[in-house]
Amino acid sequence: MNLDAARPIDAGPIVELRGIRKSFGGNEVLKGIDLTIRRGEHVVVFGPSGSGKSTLLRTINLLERPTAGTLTVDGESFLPGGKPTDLRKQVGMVFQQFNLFPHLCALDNVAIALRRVKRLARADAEHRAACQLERVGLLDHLAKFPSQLSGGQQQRVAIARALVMDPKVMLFDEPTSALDPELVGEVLAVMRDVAESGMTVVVVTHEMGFAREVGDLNVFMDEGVIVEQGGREIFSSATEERTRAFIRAVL
Amino acid sequence: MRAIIGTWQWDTVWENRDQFLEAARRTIWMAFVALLICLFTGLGMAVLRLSRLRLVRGFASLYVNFFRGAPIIVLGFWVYYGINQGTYNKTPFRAGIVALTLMHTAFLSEVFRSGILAVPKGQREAAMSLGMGRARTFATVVLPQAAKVALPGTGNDFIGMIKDTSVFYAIGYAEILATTKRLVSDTFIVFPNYTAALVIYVTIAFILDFAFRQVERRLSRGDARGATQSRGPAARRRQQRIAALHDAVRAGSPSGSTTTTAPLLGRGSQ
Repeated sequence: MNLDAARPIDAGPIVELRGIRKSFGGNEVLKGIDLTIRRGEHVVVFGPSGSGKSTLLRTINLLERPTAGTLTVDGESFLPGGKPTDLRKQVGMVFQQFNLFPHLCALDNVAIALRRVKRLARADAEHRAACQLERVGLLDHLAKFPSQLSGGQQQRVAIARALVMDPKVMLFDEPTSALDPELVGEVLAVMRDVAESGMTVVVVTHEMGFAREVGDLNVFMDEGVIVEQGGREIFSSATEERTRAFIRAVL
Repeated sequence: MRAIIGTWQWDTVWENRDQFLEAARRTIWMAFVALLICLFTGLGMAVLRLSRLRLVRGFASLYVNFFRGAPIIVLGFWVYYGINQGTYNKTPFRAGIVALTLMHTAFLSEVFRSGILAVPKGQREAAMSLGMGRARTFATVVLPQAAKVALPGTGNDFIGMIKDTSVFYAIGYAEILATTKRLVSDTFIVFPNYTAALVIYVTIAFILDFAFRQVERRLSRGDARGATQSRGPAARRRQQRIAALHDAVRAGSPSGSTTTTAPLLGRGSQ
C-alpha cells in the first residue's frame, strides 16, 4: 500500500483524553491516560494482554465509563457532561466477536441504526446499507443471516454497520483476533481501505504487520499506562526497553 | 364389565358434545385473556426484577415469590369472595382472570427474565455503540432475541393456565370441570364424562404445543441450525425487494468505483 510513510498530520485534534482512570473494584486498569488523536490519524494501540488497551478504546465511546478524567470529541466535551448516545452517534465501533444481530440479515444489520437512530425511511436506509455492503465486498450476501456467513464476512458486515452511520472516528477492538488465519486478510483489506479513505481510525491489534503499515501514531501500553508513543520509527528504534522487548517478542 | 360401562353411556357423552365444546371455549377464552394480560405484566415484572434500583428489584422479587407460592384455588377464593365485595370482580369470569393474572405474572416474569439474561452483553454494546438508547436497544435488539428463548417456557405456562382454570368451577365459572360435574350429577354417568373432560384438556394441550412450535419456527429465522428461510408471500416480496436493491446498487456503481476492496474482494470471497 502506498501510504506515505509516517505522513505528518497537521489537522487539529478530534479525540482528546486527559487523565483517564478506570478501576474495576479495587483493580485499577487505567492509571491516568493522556492521548490526543488528530483528524485523519491512524492510531494503533498495542501491548500485552491485560495492559488496558481494550478498556482505553472502550472509554472513547463511553462503553466503559472512566472513574476520572476528561474526554473531548470534535471539540465537544463528553466527560464531564454530554450524553453518551450523542457521542456514540459520532464514533463507530467494531468488536472482536463481531456482535452482529443474529435475528437480522446482513442488510438489516446495516440498515437498522439508520432507521431507528437516524430515522431514515426504509427505502433510503436499505439503499445506503446495500451500498456500504458493496464497499466491503458483500453485495451478493444481503439476505443472509450472520449464521450463514463466515467469520471474515461477519466482521466485514460489522464494519459496514459502523461505517454507514458516517462516524467521525472508527474504533476497532482486536477485529481479527477471533478469526481463522485465512480470513484475517480480507478484514485487514477492508480496514486498510477505511484508513485510506481519510477516516480517523483507532485500532487495538496484535497484527504488527498491519500496524507498521498503517499506523501514523503507535501507542504502546503496559499495566494501565502509555509507556511510549510515536510514529513508525517505534518499531525499529523504541526508546523504552519494555517497548523493545514486546516488539521483539511479537515480530 | 361391558354391561357396566355400556356403550350407551359413551353415546350420552357424545350427545352432550355441544355442552362440552361450549365449556372448552370458556376455558380457552379465560386462559387466553389472562395470557394476553400476562405478556405485558410479566414482561414489566421481569424488567423491574432486572432494574438497577435495589428497591424496585426488591418489590418485584417479593411479588414473584408471594404469588408463585400461593395455590391458585386460594387465590380464586381470595379474589372472588375476598376483594370482590361488589367491585369489578363480581363475575366468576373476571375474578378468575384476576387470579390467573396475579399468579402467572409471577411465573412468566421468571421465564421472560431468563430470556433477557440469555442475550449476550455484546449485543447491547453493539446496539449502544450505534447510538441507540437503553429503551431502543431493548426493543430492537434484546427483546426479539429474548422472545425466542422465552417462547417454549411461555407455551408451557399457557398450558398450565388452561389447567388452572379448572379450579374456578369452585367459584361457579362454567368451564370444563364445572360442566362435567353437572352432567355427572344429571346423568349418574361418571367414568365416560370425566374421561371426556380429560381428553378435552389433553387435546387442547396438544394443539397449543403444535401452535407454539410453529411460532418458534418463525422466530428461529437466522439460526445456524436449519437456517429456516421463511416462505409465503411476505417473504417472497422481501426477497424480490432485496434482489432489486442488489441490481440497483450493482448498476449504480461500476466495479471498483471509489474503493480498492470492491474488485479485491468482490464475489471471490465466498
